[in-house]
Amino acid sequence: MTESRSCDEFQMAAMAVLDGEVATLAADEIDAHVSNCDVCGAALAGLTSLNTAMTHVSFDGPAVDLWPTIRASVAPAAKRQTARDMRVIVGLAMAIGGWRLAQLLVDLPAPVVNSTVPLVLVVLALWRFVGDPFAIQVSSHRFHGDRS
Amino acid sequence: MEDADAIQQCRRGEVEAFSHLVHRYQGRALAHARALTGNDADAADAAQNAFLDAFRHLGRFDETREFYPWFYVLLRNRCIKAWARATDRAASSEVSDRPGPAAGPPEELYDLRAALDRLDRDDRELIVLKHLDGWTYDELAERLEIPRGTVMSRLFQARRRLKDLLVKSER
Repeated sequence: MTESRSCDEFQMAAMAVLDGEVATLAADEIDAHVSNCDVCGAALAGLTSLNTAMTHVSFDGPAVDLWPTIRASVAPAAKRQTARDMRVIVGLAMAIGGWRLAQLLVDLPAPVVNSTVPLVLVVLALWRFVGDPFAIQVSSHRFHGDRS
Repeated sequence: MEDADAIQQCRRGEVEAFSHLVHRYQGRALAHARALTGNDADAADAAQNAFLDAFRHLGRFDETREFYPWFYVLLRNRCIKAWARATDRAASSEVSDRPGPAAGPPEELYDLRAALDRLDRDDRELIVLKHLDGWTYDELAERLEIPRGTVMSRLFQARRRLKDLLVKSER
């Protein structure tokens, strides 16, 4: 059992060297063991030939162009984002305008006009033009091919 | 166009700039996804969804780093979900028009590529990342979030299991 673990350790270190990595054992030590151990010699020859064979394996994925489908999904989302941004700007502009109007027309104490009224106006304007400002925004668009 | 330019344009809402990233990396992404999911259809779905995830989260991307390693994390998550769905499908014995990743290939396809598909997902991922991308042990450790020693032992075991599968297929 100990011998087997030891052989594994030598083989692992030898593979690391073949991969161009720094091994956990010294090169001399690995060479000395492998050259005197038939099990390790055979195992390493097999793994080395496997590595060579791997260089000839094609790792190609399916030959498809993903862009048309991705574009169809992200373009509407980007447009929605732009429209949403515009609504936020309009909402804030209306809130500021309403606040100035309140300052001019309504005779309320200064603290009320300067703090409560603008806050209420901003919330109302956002609610009207964007939706619930306190809601957690969740991305609504899904990819057509998503089967989840 | 450089990746960083494309990403900045995407952040400004220029959707077409994202095509640069898709066209540059889709081949690699599909190859990785194919290796992780074990079939073309799930690979295409996973890669497409990963690109959509990337588009949504470009704001979080650190432009001082390379795009693909960041994207690979998203891709890997999508592939794991696809893998889980395929496993569920197989477990519930649903009739499917495509084999799940755990299904064995036909005997005539029992070559190195088919043997790779027979490996479990973690083994296959390590071997593909090592041989397809030439990632070093340190890069594998960082990107898969496992210690370097674990990379070395897992890669060694994965190759041994692959070798065993090939030996079996030759008998």
